[in-house]
Amino acid sequence: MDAQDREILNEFVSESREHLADIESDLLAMEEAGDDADDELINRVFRAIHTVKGASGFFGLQKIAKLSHTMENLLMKIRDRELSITSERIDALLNASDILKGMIDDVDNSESFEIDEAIAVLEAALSGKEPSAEAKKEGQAPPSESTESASSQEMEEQLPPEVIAAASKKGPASLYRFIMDDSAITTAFEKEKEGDTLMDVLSQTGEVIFSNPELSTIKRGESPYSPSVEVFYSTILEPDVLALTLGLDEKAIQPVIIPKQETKEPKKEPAIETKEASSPPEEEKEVEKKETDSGQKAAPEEKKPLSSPKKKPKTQTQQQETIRVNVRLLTRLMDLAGELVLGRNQLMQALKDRDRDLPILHTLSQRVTELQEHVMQTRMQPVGNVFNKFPRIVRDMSKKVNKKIKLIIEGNEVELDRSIIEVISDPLTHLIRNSVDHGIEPPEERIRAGKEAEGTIWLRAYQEGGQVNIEIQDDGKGIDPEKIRAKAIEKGLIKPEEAENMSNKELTNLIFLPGFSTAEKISDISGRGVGMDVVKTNFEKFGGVVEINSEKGKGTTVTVRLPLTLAIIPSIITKVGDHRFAVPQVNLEEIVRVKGENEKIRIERVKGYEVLRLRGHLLSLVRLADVLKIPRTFVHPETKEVLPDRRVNILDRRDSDPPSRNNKERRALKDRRTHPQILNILVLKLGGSRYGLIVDQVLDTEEIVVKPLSNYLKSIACFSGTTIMGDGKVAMILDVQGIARIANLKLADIEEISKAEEENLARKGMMEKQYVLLFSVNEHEAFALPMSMVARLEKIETIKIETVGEREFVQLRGSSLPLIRLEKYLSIKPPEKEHETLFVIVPRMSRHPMGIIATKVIDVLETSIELDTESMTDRGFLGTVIIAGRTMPMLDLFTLFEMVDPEQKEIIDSVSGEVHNARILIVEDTPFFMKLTRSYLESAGYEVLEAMDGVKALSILHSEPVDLVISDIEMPVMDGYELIQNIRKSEKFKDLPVMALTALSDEKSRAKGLRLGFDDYEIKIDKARVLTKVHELLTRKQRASAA
Amino acid sequence: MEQFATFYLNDTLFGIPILTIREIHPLIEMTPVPLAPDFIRGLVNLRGQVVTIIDLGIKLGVGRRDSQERTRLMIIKPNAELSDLALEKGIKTSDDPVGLLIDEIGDVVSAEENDIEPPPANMDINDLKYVRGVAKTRSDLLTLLNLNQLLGVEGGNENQNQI
Repeated sequence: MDAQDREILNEFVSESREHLADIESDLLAMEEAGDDADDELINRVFRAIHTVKGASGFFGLQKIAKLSHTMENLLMKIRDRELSITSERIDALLNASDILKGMIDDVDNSESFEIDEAIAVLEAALSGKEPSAEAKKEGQAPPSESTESASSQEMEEQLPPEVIAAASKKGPASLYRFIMDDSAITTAFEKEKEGDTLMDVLSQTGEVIFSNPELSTIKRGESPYSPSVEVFYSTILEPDVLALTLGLDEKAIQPVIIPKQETKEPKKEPAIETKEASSPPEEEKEVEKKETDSGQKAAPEEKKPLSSPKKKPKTQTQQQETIRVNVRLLTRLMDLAGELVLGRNQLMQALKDRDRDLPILHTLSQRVTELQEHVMQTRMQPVGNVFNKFPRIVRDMSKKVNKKIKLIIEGNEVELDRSIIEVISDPLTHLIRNSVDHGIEPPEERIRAGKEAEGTIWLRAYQEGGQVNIEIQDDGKGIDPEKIRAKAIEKGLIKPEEAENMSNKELTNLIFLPGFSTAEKISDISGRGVGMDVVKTNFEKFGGVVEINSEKGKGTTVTVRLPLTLAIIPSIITKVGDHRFAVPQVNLEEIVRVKGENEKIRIERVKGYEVLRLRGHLLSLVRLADVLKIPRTFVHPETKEVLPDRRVNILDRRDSDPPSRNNKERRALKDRRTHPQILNILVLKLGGSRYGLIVDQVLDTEEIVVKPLSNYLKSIACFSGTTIMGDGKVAMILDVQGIARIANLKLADIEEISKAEEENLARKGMMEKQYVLLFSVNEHEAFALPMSMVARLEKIETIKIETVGEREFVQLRGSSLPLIRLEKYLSIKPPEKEHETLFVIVPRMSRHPMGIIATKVIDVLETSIELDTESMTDRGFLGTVIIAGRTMPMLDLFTLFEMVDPEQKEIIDSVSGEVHNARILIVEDTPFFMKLTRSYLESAGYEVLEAMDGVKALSILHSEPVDLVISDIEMPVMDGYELIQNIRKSEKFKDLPVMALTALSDEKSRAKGLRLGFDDYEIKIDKARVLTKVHELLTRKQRASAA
Repeated sequence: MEQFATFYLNDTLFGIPILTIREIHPLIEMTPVPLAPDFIRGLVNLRGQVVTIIDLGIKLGVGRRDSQERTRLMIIKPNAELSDLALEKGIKTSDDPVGLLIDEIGDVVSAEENDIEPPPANMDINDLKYVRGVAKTRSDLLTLLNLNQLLGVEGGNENQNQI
C-alpha cells in the first residue's frame, strides 16, 4: 500500500469512526422508542452503516463489508417496517456495531476478526418476522411511496444514503432534486453543446450526486430519451438559473436539505480517543473545535427558506460551527499561553522589585489571563464524550443482573480539559457499575419497599465555582452504616471504640478505605478486585475529590469534584540541597515541622522504617534527599547555612553515640545538638494512605505551568513533569506516588505495622497518659517513678536528718520517717557533693512508711509510659522508659522495699506458694500495672492470665478455668463494675472470687464495688496486702469447694 | 553535497548535519536532574521551552569535561521541527528538544557523500553505531555522528512500563 492509499485508508478510518460514534446511542434510542422510533433515527443508523459498507468495499475490507452488509439488511427491514424493533434485534445490532468499531480501529487486522457469530445472530434477527409487523405494514403506506409533492422534509427522509453521504461533502453548493423528462433532456442537450452524455452536460455546471437511471447511459442524439430521470444535483447555481439552463419549470426544482447535524457534524471526542488508542501510523490527531461565536454562522443552509422547525437538532448535538484543528497546535498554543503567563509573572516581579507600577501592565496582565483562559477552553471537551458510553453499560448490565434500570444523564455539555476527560472514564464506569450492581435493588425487592420496579440512576455534570462536579446518584437501597461499621471492625480497619463515635456519614465514607468492599460475594460486574479506594485514588491523582452520601433505603449519591484543567496547578515549592522541587498541592495534606529536640519523641523506627507519630497515627517517612540520591543537608536554623547532614538516620542521636566515644567527640555532638535541626515534613496523601516527605526547606506556593517530561527522564518515577519557576529556571515536579514506590515504601505494609503498632501501644498503655516523677540522687543519673505510687513529696534540710546506727530518719509531721538512700541498695553512684536541702519521696505502699532521698526533683510530667524491661534487668528496677527523649530507669519499689525491709519479704513469702497451681486472671488496661501485678503474682507462684478489658475477661472466663479474678475498675469497652455484674449473673461464676484492684480509693466507689459483687476491694500499689488478700480469697474458695 | 556543523569534544572534531541545528547558545545555568542518566547534564529554559542538555562526550566515551569559556549549547531541532529538506535526507533527531554540551564550536564543513568513509575500526569511540562515518577536512579528520542513534532513548519503552 503506498502512502497515498494509506492516507485514503486513514481517511476512511476516521470517517467511519465518526459515522459509528453515535450509532450506539441511536440504537438505544430506537430500542426505547420501539416501533414508534422515527424514520430519521433509523435512517441515521442505516446511513452510518451503509457508508461504512460502501467504503470498505472500495478497500477490499471484506469482513467489514460483510458485517456491515448484514447489519444493513436488518436495518433496512426495520426501516421499511417489515420487522419491528425488539430488544433482541437491537442486541444483535449493538453487538455487531461493537465488532465493526473494533475492526475499524484495527483496520489492518480487520480480516482476522471473528464475525460469523455476529452475522448468525443478525440473520436470526432478520428471519424472525412478527405478524404484528406485517399487519402494521398493511395498515400504512410505506414511506417510499409518498407523492411527488412531498415537502422537502419528507423528501429528505427518502434520500438515498449515498446522496446524503456525497452531498454532505459538497461545501457551499446546494443540492436539488428534479425530474427530467424527454423534453427537458432534449433542451439540456440543446443548451449545452459540449458533452456526449447527459452526465457530461450536467457536469458542466454542477455535480450529479445521484441519478436513476445513470445519466451516462443517456447519450446525445439517442432520443427519445428515458421517460423520466430522477436527478440529485449539487450546484452553486440558484434554482431559477438552473431551471433556465435545463429548460425546466423552476417549481420542479426542489431544494434538498441535507440533515447537517448528523452527517456533517460528527461528535467531537470519540474520534480522537479511539485514534489515540489505536495509534494509526500518521501522528496527526485532530480535534474538532467549536467556534464560540455562533453569531458568525455563514452556513449556506441557513439561507434555505425551507428549513423546517421540526428539523432542529435532536437535543444531544447542538448546531455549532466547528473547524478541525490539530491537537498538536492546540497543545502548542496552550504552552505558549502558559509561557506568556510565566513571562508576565516575571515581569511583574521585576517591576515590583524596582518599585515601578505601570497601569498598562495591569491591562496587559488581564489580557494575558483571559488569553490563557480562552486557549485553555480550546482544549475543553464535553463530558458527554465519556457519558455517552454509559447508557449501553447500564443497559447491558441491568439485563445481566435482572434489574430494571433507567439512566438519566444531565449536563452532557459541561466541559472539562481533554487530559481529564481521558482519565475519568474508568473510575466513573466503576461507580456506575457499583450503582447497578449494589445500589439498585431487584424489582421484587423494590416493590416490596414501596418503590417503582424500575430503578433510576442519575449521572449529572455541572459546573460549580472553578470546578466541575459529577454526581452519580441512585434511588437504590443505600448504604447501611451499621453494616459498614460491622465490616470495618471485622476487617480491623477501625477499632470498635472508634466506630462508636462515628457519624453515619463518616461510617459511609469508610468504604473508601483500602481493603474494604461491601459486596458479599464478588460478582463479575463490579467486583473486579478493585475497591472504592482505587476509584478514590484514581480521581485524586489529578486533583479530584470524592464524597459519598447515602441514606439507607433511599439511595446513594457519589459526588466527584474535578478541577477544570491540569495544565496549571497550585503547588508548593520545596528545596533539598540546591534542588528546587514543586509538589502539587492536591497531594499535600499538611506541613509538619519537627524540632530536633522533639525528634526522639515523635520520630521512631518501626521494622526498619522511620515513622512519625502524628496525632496517634504512624506516618512513614521518606527523605527526599535519599530517594533522589543527593547528599543530605540541613539548614542551620540560625545562620541559614546549608550544611551537610552526617547522621545516618533521624533517630541517630542516641544510636550512633556509643559510650566508647571520647569526650571531644561527645562535645562536638553536643554542640550540634544545641542547634537542633528542624525537620520539614510534607504530609502527602496517596489515595487512602499518607506518608511524610522530609525536605530541607519549604519555600512558597506557586501556580505552576506543567510541562511534560522529556523522554529521557520519563523512566524516573519520582517526577511527573517539569515547570519553569518565577526566576526563569527549570524545576522538577515531584510524583508523590512514584516517590513512594522508589522509596520502596510499602504503604499497606506500614499501615499494617501502624495498626499492629497502635494495638500494641494501646496494650502497652502508650495511649494512656500517666504522671511520672523524675528525680535524681546524684549528678549523673535520673530515675522515674509513676506518681500513682507516690504518696507525697517533702523537702527537707539535710541537717534535720537523724542517724540511728546504720539508719537515717527524719521527723515529719510529728512522726519519724525512715529514709532510704538508693545508692546503698542499687548500683548507682552517691552524690558528689553535699546538698543543703534534699527531697523525700514517700511512696504510697508498704506497711511501714519510708522515704526515698532524692537530691533533686527534675520534673513531674504527664506522659505515656512504654516500659522496656529488656534494657535493664538489675534488681530494683522495672526497666527503662523513654521520657522527653531520655532513657531513664524506672524504680521497682516492691523489690526495693523487700531489699530494705526483709521482714516484708517474709510476709510475702508466707502467703506465696501455699495455694499452688491457682490461675489468676488479671483484668487491667494499663500495661504498666499489668506488668507490675503480674510480676509479683508470678513470683508468688501463681499462674497468670491477662485481659485488657471486661469483654476479653469474660471470653477468657468462658474458655478457661480461672480460680480468681483481679480486676481494675476503670477500663475501656467494659469496666470493672460491668464486668462483675456480668460475672455474678452467671450461675457458673457466682462463687468465683473476684478482687477489685484499683486506684479509685474513695469510699463511694469501694461501696459500689462491694455491693455489685466484688469479694474484696484493694488499692493498687500495696503488693504485700494484695498478695495476702489473694491468698485469703483462694483459701476461702478451696475450703468452700471442699465443704 | 551536505553541510555539517562541527564542534570539539576534548580536541576531537565532530560533525552533525547543519539542518539539525536550531541555534547555538552560550552556556546558561542548568537544573540538574537527580537520578537522570549521567549523560543528561540538566534542563534549561529556552524562551519557555524546557530543553534537555546532553553531554555527548559521556555517551561517546570522551569523558566528562568541565565547562569552560568556550563551552556552548548546541540546540538541536526536534523531529517535529526538522525541515522537509532534512526529512528528505532521512535525517532524524529526537522527539524532545535537546541541547548538546560542546567544548567549542567549529566551522561549517561541506562534504560530498563520496568523501565520507566508514569509521575506522580502531576508532576511540564507545560504540560505532553512533558514528556515521569520517570525512577529511583540510586540517582535521571529521567524525560525523549519527544523531538519531545518539539521541535515542535507550530502553525507553522498557522503562515506561515501570511507570
